[in-house]
Amino acid sequence: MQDTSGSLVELVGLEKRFGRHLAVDAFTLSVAEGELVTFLGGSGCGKTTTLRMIAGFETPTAGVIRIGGVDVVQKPANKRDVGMVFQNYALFPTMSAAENIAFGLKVRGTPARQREERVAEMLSLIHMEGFRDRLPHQMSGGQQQRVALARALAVKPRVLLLDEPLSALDALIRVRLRAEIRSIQQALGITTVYVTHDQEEALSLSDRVVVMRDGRIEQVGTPFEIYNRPATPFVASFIGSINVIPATVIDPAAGRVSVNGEQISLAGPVAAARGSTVRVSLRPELISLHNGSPTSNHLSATLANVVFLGAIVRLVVRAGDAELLVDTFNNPHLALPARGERVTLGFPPEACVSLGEEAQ
Amino acid sequence: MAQVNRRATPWSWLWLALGALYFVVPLLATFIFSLRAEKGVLSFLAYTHVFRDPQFLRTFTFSVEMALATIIVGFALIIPTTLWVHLRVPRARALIEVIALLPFVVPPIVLVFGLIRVFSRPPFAIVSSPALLVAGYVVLSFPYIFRAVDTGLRSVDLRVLTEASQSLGAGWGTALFRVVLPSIRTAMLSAAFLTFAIVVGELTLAVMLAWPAFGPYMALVGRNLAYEPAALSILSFLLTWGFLLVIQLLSRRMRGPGVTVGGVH
Repeated sequence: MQDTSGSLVELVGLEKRFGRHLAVDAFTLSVAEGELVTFLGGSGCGKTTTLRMIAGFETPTAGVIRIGGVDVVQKPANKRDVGMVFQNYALFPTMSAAENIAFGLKVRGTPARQREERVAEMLSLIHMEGFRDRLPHQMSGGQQQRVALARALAVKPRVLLLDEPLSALDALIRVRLRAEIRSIQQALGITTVYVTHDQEEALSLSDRVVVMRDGRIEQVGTPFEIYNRPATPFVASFIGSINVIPATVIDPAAGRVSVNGEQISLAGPVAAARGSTVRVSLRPELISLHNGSPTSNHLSATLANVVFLGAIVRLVVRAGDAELLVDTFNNPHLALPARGERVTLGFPPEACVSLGEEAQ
Repeated sequence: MAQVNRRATPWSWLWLALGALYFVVPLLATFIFSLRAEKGVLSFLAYTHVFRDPQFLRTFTFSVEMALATIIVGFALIIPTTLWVHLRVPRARALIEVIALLPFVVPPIVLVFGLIRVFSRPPFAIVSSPALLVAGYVVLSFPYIFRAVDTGLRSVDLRVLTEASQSLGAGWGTALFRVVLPSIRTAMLSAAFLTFAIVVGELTLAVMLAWPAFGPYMALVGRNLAYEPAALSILSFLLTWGFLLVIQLLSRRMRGPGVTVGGVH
């Protein structure tokens, strides 16, 4: 059960059905004031539907949404005091950047002078002072999205919602803009819910990540926890590249298992009976080809393939029936083993996380 | 890779020339004929007769009034309906498409007899009111207004625009009048001018409902005079093209990416 004290957004038992399809199920989450929480998941996992329910564009079938302690389920979208940034910018095509930013203020009846000041402040925040009179179609995608962000922030909403705001942009601009979004969010201290299917984006931006699958929460945690201590096989496979290898339990209390007849130690005790088969996750970057540390686990393998990825060189190795990925930093002065060569893989026990018993 | 030959062949020029002749020759012939009202010389005498005839201005003014009323009523009925279909019941679009085809399938004469039959007795005895003519014109212009507005709405992301304005605190009215309608104003302009052109030249409804409109006037002149009808044809042609030119000029002056004028296809 989560501690909801200090929470600005509370979602309790949220459910959404579209006909017979259950899009969001038993979704309970608290977002603290000033926190940036990301909903991460594949297409159709319910992340955008949940965001749209917070925004007021979808009505939950069941459950409660509280913003600042007030149940807003019956409140229309324009009364919820949330700002929203959309995937395809959604700038008003006949209004200039400044007019777009001023729109929400105008609707609220803010006097013209204050409006002007706020627009200038927002344009300065997004470093686009020279673009105030540009129409949306006269700006690039990145510039349009920055204006959309400024427009959402201009009205000082209590909660900022971002629905895959970077997915329509080029890779380079995406990286630059996500850093900008994070720095603006931190500078303003605004409570933010961010939806993305991009794990790198989620890990780099968030205070906490909510991994979703089939309308349900799989795991909630900091990016570090999500990446290093995945709670379910889905989270382990969804976030980053991961090796999942079957192992036979030798000593559950000591966390000793056997892989292809070679014994290795896991990060902790295994919740499975002696002799049963469990799945063990192992990140490729935590495996090395050297067996330097005496406390490390060791596995014998054969090099099957080498994939050059730039900064990273990915080795595909075979250990018995299992195929493992091993990532090493590119080093032009270091000779890599040849295909078919026998290698010894070394990795610390902390790198091995048990994902539970293998499904029969 | 195979290169695409983009150079026009002599055959394509020939077909283009034939097509142009098909349109230009009758127009040119009518224009030259309209200039021959005076024996032996080419003059604008027929045009002078047309402009001097008080019926011309009276009937034209009446038709312009009817066109404006049709645009107002048509917009008030069709724009909210099309918006509703786009936002709430997209599945109903197919039904509206079929209804939009009916004015092309049902001849105006059938429509007008239906109108007379229904609206000539209580409780809707309005056959002598211009409101019935406007109602008939709204039916005739429905496909044009619907198509233009529908094209305009499809060129903007209506759902996201309304949601964006709502998230900024706007109610439905504000979202409609400050965001949606300005975003499709070129399409609305297009619909307005197409309606205008249809109503100004319409004959059947005006004759059967006995109103002094421009269409019956042109038909009357055509029966009794020789050169003036040709002059009127040229004038109505110029008026139509003038309207299209105005659409283009206005849409160019408008801000935003614009919407293709003439969404009817």
